[in-house]
Amino acid sequence: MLKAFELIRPSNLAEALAAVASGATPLAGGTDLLVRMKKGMLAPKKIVDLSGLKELSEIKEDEENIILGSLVTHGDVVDSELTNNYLPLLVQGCRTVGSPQIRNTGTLGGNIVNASPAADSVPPLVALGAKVVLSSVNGEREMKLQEFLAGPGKTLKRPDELLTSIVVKKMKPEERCLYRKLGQRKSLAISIASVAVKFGFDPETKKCSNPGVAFGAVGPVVRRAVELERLLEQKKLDQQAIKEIASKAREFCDPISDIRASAEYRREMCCSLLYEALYELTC
Amino acid sequence: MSEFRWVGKAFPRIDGRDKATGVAKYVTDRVFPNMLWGAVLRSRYPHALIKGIYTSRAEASQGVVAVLTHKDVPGLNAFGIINQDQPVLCKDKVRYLGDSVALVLAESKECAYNALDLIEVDYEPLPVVSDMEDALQTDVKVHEKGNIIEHVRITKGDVEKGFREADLIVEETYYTPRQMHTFLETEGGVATIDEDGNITVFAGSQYPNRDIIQIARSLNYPMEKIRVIAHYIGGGFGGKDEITAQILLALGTLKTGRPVKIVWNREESLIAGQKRLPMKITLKTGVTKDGKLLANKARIIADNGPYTCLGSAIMKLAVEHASGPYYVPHTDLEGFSVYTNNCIGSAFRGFGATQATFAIECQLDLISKKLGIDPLELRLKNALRNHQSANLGHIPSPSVGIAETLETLKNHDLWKNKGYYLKTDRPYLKRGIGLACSHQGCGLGSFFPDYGAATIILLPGGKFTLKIGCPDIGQGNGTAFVMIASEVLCCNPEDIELEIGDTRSTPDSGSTSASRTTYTGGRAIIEAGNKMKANLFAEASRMLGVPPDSLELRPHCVAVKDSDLKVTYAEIAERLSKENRFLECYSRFDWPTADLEFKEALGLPHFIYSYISEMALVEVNVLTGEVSVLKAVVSPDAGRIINRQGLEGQAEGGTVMGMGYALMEEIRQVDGQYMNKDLSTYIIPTAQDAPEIETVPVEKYEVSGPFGAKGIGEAVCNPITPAVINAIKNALGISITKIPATPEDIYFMAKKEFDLLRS
Ligand SMILES: Cc1cc2nc3c(=O)[nH]c(=O)nc-3n(C[C@H](O)[C@H](O)[C@H](O)COP(=O)(O)OP(=O)(O)OC[C@H]3O[C@@H](n4cnc5c(N)ncnc54)[C@H](O)[C@@H]3O)c2cc1C
Repeated sequence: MLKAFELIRPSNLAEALAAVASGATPLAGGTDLLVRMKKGMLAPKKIVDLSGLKELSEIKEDEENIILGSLVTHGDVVDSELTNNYLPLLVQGCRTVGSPQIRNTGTLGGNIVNASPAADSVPPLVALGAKVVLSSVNGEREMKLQEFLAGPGKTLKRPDELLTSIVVKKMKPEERCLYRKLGQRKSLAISIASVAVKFGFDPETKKCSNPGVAFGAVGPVVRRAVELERLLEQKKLDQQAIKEIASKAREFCDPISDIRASAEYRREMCCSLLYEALYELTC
Repeated sequence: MSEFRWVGKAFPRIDGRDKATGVAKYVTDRVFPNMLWGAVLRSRYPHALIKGIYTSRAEASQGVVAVLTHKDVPGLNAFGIINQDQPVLCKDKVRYLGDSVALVLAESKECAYNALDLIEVDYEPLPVVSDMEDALQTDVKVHEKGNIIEHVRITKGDVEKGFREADLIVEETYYTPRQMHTFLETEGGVATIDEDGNITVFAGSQYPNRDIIQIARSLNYPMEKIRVIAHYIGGGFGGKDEITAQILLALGTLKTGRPVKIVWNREESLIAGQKRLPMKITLKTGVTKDGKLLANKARIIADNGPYTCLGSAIMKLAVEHASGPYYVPHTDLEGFSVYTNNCIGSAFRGFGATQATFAIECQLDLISKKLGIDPLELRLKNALRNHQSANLGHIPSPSVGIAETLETLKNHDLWKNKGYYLKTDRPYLKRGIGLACSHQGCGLGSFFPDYGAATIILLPGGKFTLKIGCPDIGQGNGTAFVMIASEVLCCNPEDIELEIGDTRSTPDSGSTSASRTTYTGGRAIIEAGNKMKANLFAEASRMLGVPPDSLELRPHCVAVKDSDLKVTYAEIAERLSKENRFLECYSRFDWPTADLEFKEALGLPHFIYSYISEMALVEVNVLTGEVSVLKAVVSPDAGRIINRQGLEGQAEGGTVMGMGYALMEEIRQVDGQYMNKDLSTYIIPTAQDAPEIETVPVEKYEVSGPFGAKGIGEAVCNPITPAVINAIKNALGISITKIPATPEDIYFMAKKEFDLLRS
């Protein structure tokens, strides 16, 4: 049951930053935070409700990047023309989150800061080399998302900071991508394992360029499998090669056993999901 | 044109709009002024002695009005439909983590739950009985009298002779999981007491009249002063057949004089609520080389958890259904239901037939594979026919439709053009088709009184009130009742006002369980309706001055045959009112029973069965072990269909529920502890997981049924589980004997065959 708390409703980002500086816990969609509070795992005294902040809810573009406000919901990503044109991999990831209700409430910022290894927007963002922008009353800093994620439930965000936006390089029209999630059922499922893959591909030569591969739910944090990316670039991606590369995926994960799956199954699933993705993207 | 105005048509739910718009209030939604909240302290250990319970700190806590323990139970501190072995509030022992140790009553839900932490209980933990085979051997006793609740063995013919004559004997052991009903509305309700001491309990209940007996016994209180209302209910599926919160609700209001509400939260429902009980079923089946079943021997153990509830009856139904809807000359069927310190096992849609169906239908697929006989032909060859002796040696009512349901599947495109449906365009996707049959005894079986009753009253304006006890727990029997009454009384369903599930105003019509209410209630309604009809004829005959046998019913009126002369129901009602009279007709109906009874297995056998066959098309991803059920075709034989829409709803809901049982649903327990405690780890199918479901009914007329109907609420849950499993086996050529078959299980089983990454 929820314990009583003070609720701050800022009318702009500056007020919100002041509130977190004073120790308030940020609330975005609340789909992670409120669940924990109801279970008694957290009992913040002060909460700052970000949900009214229009400036954090936009999806914008510049020459090279798509800039996603931290309050952009999974549903926004699925619906937006900009993300569909330039970040189809992220769209695929967000489409697998929860149910329509959760997608319309849960935000990218919440998904990232909550830092679950199973967060479904994160493998696409990491594979795409996304950066996060953090703000506080003292200013702004930017870092790679992969570095920002420090462990299960842990990030490098300082208590007085808000995640304000996520900056992602636009994908090129010729790039192919796939987010493959394995859950215990077809929707409203927490990932047992997942993989985000993207690369440019020449069907004639079967050579790939500019690859990005990241696994979800199979280690303490989502991270890029740089070694696999290198292999993808080196090889001609025929049947034999994709099997070989996929078989190596088990070496790039460090899974745990839990109620949803054993570590061994998760390890094998890295190979399986990568193989399926490579098969779909190259055959 | 059909001979019926309503029966057999697709008719929308009478309560559909109110439920969809939220107008309908579930029992746990009810709120009363000055109402207290109750919270139950559950056990800390799966098995322990209680050395002391200290409530003073909790009593002093903010908002707390009372903390009740075993000392406050005025009557028998035990309940149970079969054995009264479950304490209302535990005194000296706890036997599972869901046990109720104390009840806090407080001004708010928060105050009530907060106070739970302040109750101190001294426990002395005991060794835990967690394995059902172990329960038979161990010295650790869950109850004084030992761990065996009931043991039955029923034989027919000479099973050893059958095995001697058999060309093939197949032996295998099957395991089924603990499944949760996962109803929308968890267990609970609200109770009130008036200044004369009349207690009203609004509760999620499948049999309010029986609740009164159990409440009165534990409260040592007159039954006449207790009323239970079970309407509206957000799902039952068997999980609200036995007492859940009713006694504590009544006790709370009795002790405080104030309204009391208790609603189990989802985790409580998972831990304390009743579940489908896990079984281990070993089958040894003998068959001739051309596929005739000769002998079937079954040994069944059911993990009943700490209290009997309906568990021993469920084990007996598993025994009764262990050879499937087939003619088998020689059987030897044995079952044990045992106490453990796991979650309570009790009624769940299918009531033991579900577990038995999984075992025998997997067994038949094994036989079909070994003999190289088509699985459908094998079943058709052995399908029980009218007048043949069933599993336990009795002759069921001659409405045995199993062969017809199989013929329906045989003629379906999915079966005829298997090759087409089995193709996939990916090397890692494999498809398979599987099928299974099942049957389900309707009603309570032999020995137990099984009756229904209904009252119909003619209202001013020419409408009717229909009163009937057995609640509508969400499955739509209320709609079927109204359709049946409209049919008999030749009026529109809007002209029938239904009152249901209230011990004060509706006649006892038995429990809403055992695929029994449409049949029982329907018969009672027809008979009450016929009495009403005779009365209407008598009044009309007087008013029109013609003999009653010259009359017939036309919509809303009694008319003279072949004439325009008529008198409307409204006119009859008006006339009666002027004469200071009214028409009320009551009728009771008793079930027919089988030609056999087993003194050592009370309740067995049943006389009337519903039959069903179902096939499933699945696609397995061998890279991950994921299974997609793409299509299910279900052919139920529920006798004459009353409401086509209701039947399809049952067939679809049952299919999804049984599919969840096959693939994902399980409460996993280790040493009496729960490995999954909430809906993020107890996984049920979503709409995205549900296949396309086609229902092609067979209507095998049941002479004793209302317009020829039987029951269907449970059978729909049975065949899909083995159908899905058989389809997976068909796709991969592997053997599966344990459900749920999760992707991880299937992946590792399939890996040897299909290691795509290594080949
Ligand atoms: C039923 C259900 C199903 C779900 N299914 C999925 C799923 O399939 N896949 C998946 O990935 N997730 C799933 N989730 C988890 C959750 O919905 C997502 O992680 C969601 O994106 C969280 O966003 P939110 O806005 O609700 O975060 P909140 O709950 O509001 O916040 C989460 C955390 O982030 C912090 N925070 C939020 N925004 C900021 C910010 N801008 N700056 C700094 N800190 C911030 C909060 O303080 C809190 O600690 C599910 C949740 C539920 C309840």
